[in-house]
Amino acid sequence: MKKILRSPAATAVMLLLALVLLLTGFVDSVRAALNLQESTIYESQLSTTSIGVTLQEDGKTYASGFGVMKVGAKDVAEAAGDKEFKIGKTYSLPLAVYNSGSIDEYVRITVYKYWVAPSGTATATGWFAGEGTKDRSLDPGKIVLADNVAGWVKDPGAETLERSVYYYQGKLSPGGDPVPFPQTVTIDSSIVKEVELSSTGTYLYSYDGAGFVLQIEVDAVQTHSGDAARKGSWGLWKES
Amino acid sequence: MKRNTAILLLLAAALVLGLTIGASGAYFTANDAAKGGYVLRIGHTPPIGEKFEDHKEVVITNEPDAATVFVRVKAFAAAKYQDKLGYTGSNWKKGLSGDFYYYYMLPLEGGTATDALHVSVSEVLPAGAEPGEKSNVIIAYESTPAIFTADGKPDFRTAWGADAPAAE
Repeated sequence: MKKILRSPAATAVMLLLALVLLLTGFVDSVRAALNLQESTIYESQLSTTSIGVTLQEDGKTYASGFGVMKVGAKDVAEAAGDKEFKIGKTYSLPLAVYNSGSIDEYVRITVYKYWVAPSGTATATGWFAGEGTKDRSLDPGKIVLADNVAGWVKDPGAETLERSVYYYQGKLSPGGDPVPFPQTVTIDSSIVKEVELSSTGTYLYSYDGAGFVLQIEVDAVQTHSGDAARKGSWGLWKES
Repeated sequence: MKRNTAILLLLAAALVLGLTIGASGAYFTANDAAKGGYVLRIGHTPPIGEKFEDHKEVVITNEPDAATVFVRVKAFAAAKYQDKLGYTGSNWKKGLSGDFYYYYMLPLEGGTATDALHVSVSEVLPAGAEPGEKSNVIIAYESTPAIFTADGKPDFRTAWGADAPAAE
Protein backbone atom coordinates (compact mmCIF):
# COMPACT_ATOMS: atom_id res chain seq x y z
CA MET A 1 0.00 0.00 0.00
CA LYS A 2 2.82 2.34 0.98
CA LYS A 3 4.55 1.56 -2.25
CA ILE A 4 1.48 2.41 -4.26
CA LEU A 5 0.95 5.69 -2.46
CA ARG A 6 4.57 6.68 -2.99
CA SER A 7 4.50 5.96 -6.69
CA PRO A 8 4.50 8.87 -9.16
CA ALA A 9 1.37 7.40 -10.69
CA ALA A 10 -0.53 7.81 -7.40
CA THR A 11 0.60 11.40 -7.14
CA ALA A 12 -0.54 12.07 -10.69
CA VAL A 13 -3.92 10.48 -9.95
CA MET A 14 -4.43 12.61 -6.82
CA LEU A 15 -3.51 15.78 -8.68
CA LEU A 16 -5.83 14.85 -11.51
CA LEU A 17 -8.62 14.21 -9.01
CA ALA A 18 -8.13 17.63 -7.44
CA LEU A 19 -8.18 19.30 -10.84
CA VAL A 20 -11.36 17.46 -11.79
CA LEU A 21 -13.02 18.63 -8.58
CA LEU A 22 -11.96 22.18 -9.22
CA LEU A 23 -13.11 22.17 -12.83
CA THR A 24 -16.42 20.58 -11.93
CA GLY A 25 -17.08 23.46 -9.55
CA PHE A 26 -16.23 26.05 -12.16
CA VAL A 27 -18.26 24.35 -14.84
CA ASP A 28 -21.31 24.27 -12.51
CA SER A 29 -21.00 27.97 -11.89
CA VAL A 30 -20.58 28.77 -15.55
CA ARG A 31 -23.58 26.69 -16.49
CA ALA A 32 -25.70 28.60 -14.06
CA ALA A 33 -24.86 31.95 -15.51
CA LEU A 34 -26.56 31.67 -18.88
CA ASN A 35 -29.89 30.25 -19.76
CA LEU A 36 -30.49 29.31 -23.36
CA GLN A 37 -34.11 29.48 -24.40
CA GLU A 38 -35.93 28.33 -27.50
CA SER A 39 -35.88 31.67 -29.13
CA THR A 40 -33.85 33.72 -31.44
CA ILE A 41 -33.21 36.14 -28.62
CA TYR A 42 -30.92 35.28 -25.83
CA GLU A 43 -32.10 36.87 -22.67
CA SER A 44 -30.26 37.22 -19.46
CA GLN A 45 -31.96 38.54 -16.37
CA LEU A 46 -30.05 39.73 -13.38
CA SER A 47 -31.72 39.93 -10.03
CA THR A 48 -29.79 40.56 -6.85
CA THR A 49 -30.80 39.61 -3.34
CA SER A 50 -29.46 41.21 -0.27
CA ILE A 51 -29.84 40.65 3.42
CA GLY A 52 -29.87 43.50 5.86
CA VAL A 53 -30.87 44.19 9.42
CA THR A 54 -31.00 47.53 11.18
CA LEU A 55 -31.17 48.46 14.82
CA GLN A 56 -33.29 51.35 16.01
CA GLU A 57 -33.45 53.29 19.26
CA ASP A 58 -36.53 55.33 19.99
CA GLY A 59 -37.64 54.97 16.37
CA LYS A 60 -34.39 56.25 14.89
CA THR A 61 -31.61 54.37 13.18
CA TYR A 62 -28.07 55.04 14.27
CA ALA A 63 -25.51 56.88 12.22
CA SER A 64 -23.33 54.59 10.13
CA GLY A 65 -20.81 52.47 11.96
CA PHE A 66 -21.14 51.57 15.60
CA GLY A 67 -24.20 53.39 16.96
CA VAL A 68 -24.12 55.32 20.21
CA MET A 69 -26.92 54.30 22.54
CA LYS A 70 -28.58 56.83 24.80
CA VAL A 71 -29.04 54.40 27.65
CA GLY A 72 -32.03 55.47 29.68
CA ALA A 73 -31.76 59.06 28.46
CA LYS A 74 -35.27 59.10 27.07
CA ASP A 75 -36.76 58.22 30.45
CA VAL A 76 -34.68 60.86 32.18
CA ALA A 77 -35.64 63.49 29.66
CA GLU A 78 -39.31 62.67 30.03
CA ALA A 79 -39.31 62.53 33.82
CA ALA A 80 -39.88 65.97 35.25
CA GLY A 81 -37.14 66.98 37.64
CA ASP A 82 -34.78 64.12 36.81
CA LYS A 83 -31.34 65.45 36.08
CA GLU A 84 -29.45 62.20 35.94
CA PHE A 85 -29.58 58.45 35.79
CA LYS A 86 -30.81 57.08 39.12
CA ILE A 87 -29.26 54.09 40.83
CA GLY A 88 -31.93 51.45 41.41
CA LYS A 89 -34.48 52.84 38.96
CA THR A 90 -35.50 50.67 36.01
CA TYR A 91 -35.01 52.34 32.63
CA SER A 92 -36.50 51.23 29.35
CA LEU A 93 -34.35 50.68 26.29
CA PRO A 94 -36.66 51.56 23.40
CA LEU A 95 -34.90 49.31 20.88
CA ALA A 96 -36.29 47.70 17.75
CA VAL A 97 -34.97 45.90 14.68
CA TYR A 98 -36.24 45.78 11.13
CA ASN A 99 -35.40 43.96 7.94
CA SER A 100 -33.50 46.38 5.73
CA GLY A 101 -32.67 43.78 3.08
CA SER A 102 -34.72 42.07 0.39
CA ILE A 103 -35.15 38.54 1.75
CA ASP A 104 -36.78 37.05 4.82
CA GLU A 105 -34.51 36.59 7.80
CA TYR A 106 -34.20 35.25 11.32
CA VAL A 107 -32.67 37.58 13.89
CA ARG A 108 -31.09 37.37 17.30
CA ILE A 109 -29.85 40.06 19.65
CA THR A 110 -26.81 39.77 21.87
CA VAL A 111 -26.52 42.17 24.79
CA TYR A 112 -23.15 42.70 26.45
CA LYS A 113 -22.87 44.54 29.77
CA TYR A 114 -19.74 45.51 31.62
CA TRP A 115 -17.99 48.27 33.54
CA VAL A 116 -15.22 50.47 32.25
CA ALA A 117 -12.87 53.13 33.49
CA PRO A 118 -14.16 55.68 30.99
CA SER A 119 -11.87 57.26 28.47
CA GLY A 120 -12.75 60.34 26.52
CA THR A 121 -15.30 62.75 27.78
CA ALA A 122 -18.66 61.96 29.23
CA THR A 123 -21.34 64.57 28.83
CA ALA A 124 -22.02 66.80 31.79
CA THR A 125 -24.98 64.60 32.57
CA GLY A 126 -22.88 61.42 32.56
CA TRP A 127 -23.72 59.70 29.26
CA PHE A 128 -20.83 58.48 27.17
CA ALA A 129 -20.17 56.38 24.09
CA GLY A 130 -19.01 53.38 26.08
CA GLU A 131 -15.30 53.76 25.39
CA GLY A 132 -12.77 52.93 28.07
CA THR A 133 -10.75 50.17 29.68
CA LYS A 134 -12.83 47.29 30.92
CA ASP A 135 -12.77 47.05 34.71
CA ARG A 136 -13.02 43.37 35.59
CA SER A 137 -12.97 44.07 39.32
CA LEU A 138 -16.53 45.43 39.11
CA ASP A 139 -19.44 43.02 38.88
CA PRO A 140 -21.41 42.95 35.60
CA GLY A 141 -24.19 41.30 37.61
CA LYS A 142 -24.93 44.73 39.12
CA ILE A 143 -26.12 45.78 35.65
CA VAL A 144 -29.48 44.05 35.66
CA LEU A 145 -31.35 43.30 32.43
CA ALA A 146 -34.83 41.88 32.07
CA ASP A 147 -34.92 38.10 31.60
CA ASN A 148 -38.27 38.14 29.86
CA VAL A 149 -38.49 40.27 26.75
CA ALA A 150 -41.84 40.00 25.02
CA GLY A 151 -41.56 38.23 21.67
CA TRP A 152 -37.99 37.08 22.29
CA VAL A 153 -36.60 33.95 23.89
CA LYS A 154 -33.46 34.09 25.98
CA ASP A 155 -30.92 31.36 25.37
CA PRO A 156 -29.81 30.08 28.80
CA GLY A 157 -27.00 28.12 27.16
CA ALA A 158 -25.38 31.28 25.84
CA GLU A 159 -25.60 33.18 29.14
CA THR A 160 -22.42 34.49 30.73
CA LEU A 161 -21.79 37.18 33.34
CA GLU A 162 -21.42 39.73 30.57
CA ARG A 163 -23.62 38.36 27.80
CA SER A 164 -27.26 37.47 27.14
CA VAL A 165 -28.62 36.25 23.82
CA TYR A 166 -32.24 36.61 22.73
CA TYR A 167 -33.82 34.96 19.68
CA TYR A 168 -36.82 36.48 17.94
CA GLN A 169 -39.65 33.98 17.62
CA GLY A 170 -40.50 34.40 13.99
CA LYS A 171 -39.03 35.82 10.86
CA LEU A 172 -38.64 39.38 9.67
CA SER A 173 -39.83 40.19 6.18
CA PRO A 174 -38.52 42.99 3.97
CA GLY A 175 -40.55 46.16 4.36
CA GLY A 176 -42.15 44.94 7.58
CA ASP A 177 -42.64 47.09 10.65
CA PRO A 178 -39.78 47.24 13.16
CA VAL A 179 -40.02 44.57 15.83
CA PRO A 180 -39.61 45.98 19.35
CA PHE A 181 -36.95 44.63 21.68
CA PRO A 182 -38.37 46.05 24.93
CA GLN A 183 -35.35 45.48 27.17
CA THR A 184 -34.76 47.36 30.44
CA VAL A 185 -31.72 48.16 32.56
CA THR A 186 -31.39 48.70 36.29
CA ILE A 187 -28.23 49.40 38.27
CA ASP A 188 -28.44 47.37 41.47
CA SER A 189 -28.52 49.81 44.37
CA SER A 190 -26.30 47.51 46.43
CA ILE A 191 -23.32 49.07 44.63
CA VAL A 192 -23.46 51.97 47.09
CA LYS A 193 -22.56 49.53 49.87
CA GLU A 194 -19.33 48.53 48.10
CA VAL A 195 -16.77 50.72 49.87
CA GLU A 196 -13.12 50.67 50.76
CA LEU A 197 -11.55 52.61 53.60
CA SER A 198 -8.88 54.98 52.32
CA SER A 199 -5.62 55.74 54.07
CA THR A 200 -7.08 59.07 55.19
CA GLY A 201 -10.00 57.37 56.89
CA THR A 202 -12.65 58.27 54.36
CA TYR A 203 -14.72 55.77 52.50
CA LEU A 204 -14.17 55.30 48.79
CA TYR A 205 -17.03 53.92 46.76
CA SER A 206 -15.83 51.13 44.46
CA TYR A 207 -18.25 52.08 41.68
CA ASP A 208 -17.76 55.85 41.93
CA GLY A 209 -16.62 57.18 38.56
CA ALA A 210 -17.11 53.83 36.84
CA GLY A 211 -19.09 53.71 33.62
CA PHE A 212 -21.50 50.92 32.86
CA VAL A 213 -21.72 49.96 29.23
CA LEU A 214 -24.42 48.20 27.24
CA GLN A 215 -23.52 46.88 23.83
CA ILE A 216 -26.24 45.56 21.56
CA GLU A 217 -25.56 43.45 18.49
CA VAL A 218 -28.20 42.14 16.13
CA ASP A 219 -27.45 39.27 13.73
CA ALA A 220 -29.61 38.13 10.85
CA VAL A 221 -29.47 35.00 8.72
CA GLN A 222 -31.51 33.85 5.74
CA THR A 223 -34.68 31.84 6.28
CA HIS A 224 -34.14 29.80 3.09
CA SER A 225 -32.73 26.50 4.34
CA GLY A 226 -33.20 28.23 7.65
CA ASP A 227 -32.28 25.42 10.00
CA ALA A 228 -29.05 24.72 8.19
CA ALA A 229 -28.34 28.44 7.87
CA ARG A 230 -28.83 29.02 11.58
CA LYS A 231 -26.73 26.03 12.39
CA GLY A 232 -23.99 27.10 10.02
CA SER A 233 -23.97 30.72 11.10
CA TRP A 234 -24.99 30.63 14.75
CA GLY A 235 -24.34 27.03 15.75
CA LEU A 236 -28.03 26.80 16.57
CA TRP A 237 -30.18 23.92 15.43
CA LYS A 238 -33.91 24.21 15.77
CA GLU A 239 -36.14 21.41 14.54
CA SER A 240 -38.95 22.92 12.51
CA MET B 1 10.91 13.00 -4.99
CA LYS B 2 9.32 12.11 -1.66
CA ARG B 3 9.22 15.79 -0.77
CA ASN B 4 7.59 16.67 -4.05
CA THR B 5 5.00 13.98 -3.53
CA ALA B 6 4.17 15.27 -0.08
CA ILE B 7 3.85 18.83 -1.38
CA LEU B 8 1.59 17.72 -4.19
CA LEU B 9 -0.56 15.69 -1.81
CA LEU B 10 -0.90 18.69 0.50
CA LEU B 11 -1.76 20.92 -2.43
CA ALA B 12 -4.44 18.49 -3.61
CA ALA B 13 -5.92 18.26 -0.10
CA ALA B 14 -5.92 22.06 0.23
CA LEU B 15 -7.73 22.40 -3.09
CA VAL B 16 -10.40 19.92 -2.09
CA LEU B 17 -10.83 21.49 1.39
CA GLY B 18 -10.93 24.93 -0.12
CA LEU B 19 -13.92 23.98 -2.22
CA THR B 20 -15.68 22.47 0.80
CA ILE B 21 -15.22 25.54 3.02
CA GLY B 22 -16.48 27.79 0.26
CA ALA B 23 -19.70 25.85 0.00
CA SER B 24 -20.53 25.72 3.72
CA GLY B 25 -19.96 29.43 4.37
CA ALA B 26 -22.38 30.59 1.74
CA TYR B 27 -25.32 31.71 3.90
CA PHE B 28 -26.56 35.28 3.77
CA THR B 29 -25.96 37.06 7.05
CA ALA B 30 -26.07 40.66 8.25
CA ASN B 31 -25.55 42.55 11.48
CA ASP B 32 -25.81 45.93 13.16
CA ALA B 33 -24.59 47.14 16.55
CA ALA B 34 -24.61 49.99 19.02
CA LYS B 35 -23.31 50.70 22.49
CA GLY B 36 -23.44 53.37 25.12
CA GLY B 37 -23.29 53.90 28.84
CA TYR B 38 -23.36 56.16 31.81
CA VAL B 39 -20.70 57.25 34.25
CA LEU B 40 -21.90 56.92 37.84
CA ARG B 41 -21.00 59.32 40.60
CA ILE B 42 -21.45 57.98 44.08
CA GLY B 43 -20.63 59.45 47.43
CA HIS B 44 -20.06 62.94 48.60
CA THR B 45 -19.96 64.90 51.81
CA PRO B 46 -21.96 68.08 51.42
CA PRO B 47 -21.17 70.93 53.81
CA ILE B 48 -23.64 71.88 56.50
CA GLY B 49 -24.83 75.40 56.99
CA GLU B 50 -26.10 76.40 60.40
CA LYS B 51 -27.05 79.64 62.06
CA PHE B 52 -28.40 80.47 65.46
CA GLU B 53 -30.77 83.19 66.51
CA ASP B 54 -33.47 82.19 68.91
CA HIS B 55 -33.36 78.77 67.33
CA LYS B 56 -30.99 76.79 65.16
CA GLU B 57 -31.62 76.90 61.45
CA VAL B 58 -30.03 74.02 59.56
CA VAL B 59 -29.52 74.06 55.79
CA ILE B 60 -27.44 71.48 53.97
CA THR B 61 -26.11 72.42 50.56
CA ASN B 62 -24.75 69.99 48.02
CA GLU B 63 -21.88 71.21 45.88
CA PRO B 64 -22.39 71.87 42.17
CA ASP B 65 -21.84 68.77 39.99
CA ALA B 66 -21.70 66.52 43.04
CA ALA B 67 -23.54 63.22 43.22
CA THR B 68 -27.09 63.12 44.50
CA VAL B 69 -27.34 62.17 48.18
CA PHE B 70 -29.86 61.64 50.96
CA VAL B 71 -29.29 63.55 54.22
CA ARG B 72 -30.49 63.28 57.78
CA VAL B 73 -29.87 65.45 60.80
CA LYS B 74 -29.71 64.84 64.51
CA ALA B 75 -29.54 67.44 67.26
CA PHE B 76 -27.76 66.43 70.44
CA ALA B 77 -28.58 68.02 73.75
CA ALA B 78 -28.18 66.91 77.34
CA ALA B 79 -30.08 63.65 77.79
CA LYS B 80 -32.87 65.11 79.88
CA TYR B 81 -33.52 67.81 77.25
CA GLN B 82 -33.15 65.65 74.15
CA ASP B 83 -36.87 65.08 73.69
CA LYS B 84 -37.66 68.74 74.38
CA LEU B 85 -36.09 70.05 71.20
CA GLY B 86 -38.64 71.32 68.72
CA TYR B 87 -38.29 70.68 64.99
CA THR B 88 -40.10 72.35 62.11
CA GLY B 89 -39.32 72.46 58.41
CA SER B 90 -40.97 71.46 55.19
CA ASN B 91 -39.80 68.17 53.66
CA TRP B 92 -38.20 67.06 56.94
CA LYS B 93 -39.63 64.06 58.77
CA LYS B 94 -38.87 62.47 62.11
CA GLY B 95 -37.42 58.96 62.10
CA LEU B 96 -39.67 56.09 63.13
CA SER B 97 -37.66 54.57 65.96
CA GLY B 98 -37.33 57.54 68.28
CA ASP B 99 -33.60 57.97 67.62
CA PHE B 100 -34.18 61.71 67.06
CA TYR B 101 -33.03 61.62 63.46
CA TYR B 102 -34.79 63.95 61.04
CA TYR B 103 -34.78 62.88 57.42
CA TYR B 104 -34.89 65.17 54.43
CA MET B 105 -37.51 63.58 52.23
CA LEU B 106 -36.11 64.64 48.87
CA PRO B 107 -32.92 63.57 47.09
CA LEU B 108 -30.37 66.35 47.36
CA GLU B 109 -28.96 66.86 43.88
CA GLY B 110 -25.67 68.61 43.15
CA GLY B 111 -25.95 72.38 43.44
CA THR B 112 -29.13 72.31 45.50
CA ALA B 113 -29.89 72.91 49.17
CA THR B 114 -32.37 71.46 51.61
CA ASP B 115 -35.23 73.46 53.00
CA ALA B 116 -34.38 74.88 56.39
CA LEU B 117 -34.87 72.72 59.46
CA HIS B 118 -35.61 74.89 62.47
CA VAL B 119 -34.51 73.38 65.75
CA SER B 120 -36.03 75.18 68.69
CA VAL B 121 -33.90 75.13 71.79
CA SER B 122 -36.13 77.28 73.99
CA GLU B 123 -37.23 74.29 76.05
CA VAL B 124 -33.64 73.31 76.64
CA LEU B 125 -32.74 76.51 78.45
CA PRO B 126 -32.98 76.34 82.20
CA ALA B 127 -35.89 78.21 83.75
CA GLY B 128 -34.97 81.79 84.48
CA ALA B 129 -31.79 81.60 82.47
CA GLU B 130 -29.86 84.83 82.28
CA PRO B 131 -27.87 86.12 79.31
CA GLY B 132 -24.39 84.61 79.41
CA GLU B 133 -25.47 81.25 80.75
CA LYS B 134 -24.36 78.38 78.54
CA SER B 135 -26.42 75.71 76.91
CA ASN B 136 -25.16 73.32 74.30
CA VAL B 137 -27.02 71.82 71.35
CA ILE B 138 -24.94 70.12 68.69
CA ILE B 139 -26.25 69.54 65.19
CA ALA B 140 -24.84 66.56 63.32
CA TYR B 141 -25.79 65.34 59.90
CA GLU B 142 -25.11 62.31 57.73
CA SER B 143 -25.33 61.77 54.00
CA THR B 144 -25.53 58.61 51.94
CA PRO B 145 -25.65 58.02 48.17
CA ALA B 146 -29.14 58.38 46.81
CA ILE B 147 -30.77 55.19 45.60
CA PHE B 148 -34.19 54.62 44.09
CA THR B 149 -36.85 51.99 43.68
CA ALA B 150 -37.55 50.47 40.26
CA ASP B 151 -40.29 53.04 39.65
CA GLY B 152 -37.96 55.92 40.49
CA LYS B 153 -39.04 56.84 44.03
CA PRO B 154 -36.34 57.64 46.61
CA ASP B 155 -35.56 54.46 48.54
CA PHE B 156 -34.86 55.98 51.98
CA ARG B 157 -35.51 52.80 53.90
CA THR B 158 -32.97 50.73 51.96
CA ALA B 159 -30.43 53.54 52.18
CA TRP B 160 -30.85 54.37 55.88
CA GLY B 161 -32.55 51.36 57.40
CA ALA B 162 -35.86 50.83 59.16
CA ASP B 163 -35.74 54.17 61.04
CA ALA B 164 -36.29 56.17 57.87
CA PRO B 165 -39.81 57.09 56.78
CA ALA B 166 -40.86 55.73 53.40
CA ALA B 167 -41.08 58.13 50.46
CA GLU B 168 -44.56 59.38 49.72
